[in-house]
Amino acid sequence: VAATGREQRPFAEYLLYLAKVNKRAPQASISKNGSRDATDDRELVDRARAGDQDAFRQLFQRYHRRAYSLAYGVVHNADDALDIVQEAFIKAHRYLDKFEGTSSFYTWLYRIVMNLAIDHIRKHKRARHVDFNDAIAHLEQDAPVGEAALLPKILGQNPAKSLARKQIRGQIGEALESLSENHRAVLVMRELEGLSYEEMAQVMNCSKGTIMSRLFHARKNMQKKLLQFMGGAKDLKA
Amino acid sequence: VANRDDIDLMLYLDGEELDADTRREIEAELEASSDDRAKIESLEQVGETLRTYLELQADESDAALAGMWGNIERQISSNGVHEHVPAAAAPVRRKAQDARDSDAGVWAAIGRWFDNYRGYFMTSAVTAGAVAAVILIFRQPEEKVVQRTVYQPAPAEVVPAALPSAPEVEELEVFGGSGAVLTIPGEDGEADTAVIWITPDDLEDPI
Repeated sequence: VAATGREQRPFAEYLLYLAKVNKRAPQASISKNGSRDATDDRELVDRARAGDQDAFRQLFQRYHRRAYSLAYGVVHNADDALDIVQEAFIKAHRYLDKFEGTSSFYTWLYRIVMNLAIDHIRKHKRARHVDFNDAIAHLEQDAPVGEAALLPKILGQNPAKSLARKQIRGQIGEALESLSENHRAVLVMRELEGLSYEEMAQVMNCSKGTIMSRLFHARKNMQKKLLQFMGGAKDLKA
Repeated sequence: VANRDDIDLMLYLDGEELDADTRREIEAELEASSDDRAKIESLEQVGETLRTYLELQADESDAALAGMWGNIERQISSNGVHEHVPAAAAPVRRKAQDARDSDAGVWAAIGRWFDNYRGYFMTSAVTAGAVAAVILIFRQPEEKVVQRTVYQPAPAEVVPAALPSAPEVEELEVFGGSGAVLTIPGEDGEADTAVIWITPDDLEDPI
């Protein structure tokens, strides 16, 4: 605790913290609105199907920001992310009749957003400039995970507060940009939408093991960069 | 082994399936190892940082996102038959469209008509260009006609040389025709040349 002045966390409290994290992460966004919102969504979808444009506008108002964050996290370009969100809502409206309602509207929408974002990545991959470091990142993205470990260090400052500084934000952007598209996609799906490995494997059409490997490398690389930009301290003495 | 443990730590953090023994081992390790606890917390910080960063990026695009609905509404109203307007460019194009709509007169009408068919014009132009390119690439090479002036020496003019003296001609009587003997004196000490010229009767002009 020495370096950052953090208080030593009792183990029982730590387990409670982990339990909270475990509960929260997989359901971070998809169902955080609760069942009432899901019911509302269902009603809005039914009205939109019947031609009520205002109902669809309400769905747009409700989810466009989350859809944008998801798209931006994957493609890392504001204009492309805006295009993807717009296209996703137009597609969602066009295929509203095919929405069966077995999942929430947002779950259905984010799949459309992700598919468009992944398509975008595939289309632009050939044209993308790949520098040496990025090429290395691509090579290792599906490599066995036992090659390098996580650093037992936490950030020396509050990430949320640090991000208020434009310079730090730019650096985080660079760190995210330095990841391969597949790394970014998996990281964003996990951290923003709380998807399980199985769900991510379905979205990205690959094995669960590949998802695990990509996520591990993505987190490890981000951790390394964040520690470099924001300073780190070995912490949490037992 | 330590790295394999890191994967298990990540799976544990993400709430992924782990067998009961592994879960117990991880919990025991977390109790004993501050490093493992730091790793878990670090992973959580990565997530928190990413979420905050993306939230702030969405704030920056708020204006564009707010203007997006108008564009979506127009496109879904036209039931999918529309020109694709990039979301980022939508407000600018909308402004230009509104300005054009407010214009009156023939030119404005022509402009609007052109806008409606802009896609066809573009497609036609691109197609014509492509066809021209294909023709240029695949056409047979033409036979080249090279006009070249060939300078040849002018034909030698033959000028009859004057004999040093007139040949002697004697008439000769032959059967069935007429003849003559021409004696041409030789030049530069050469011997004379005698030419006997006989013209048969039947070769003479018929009467």
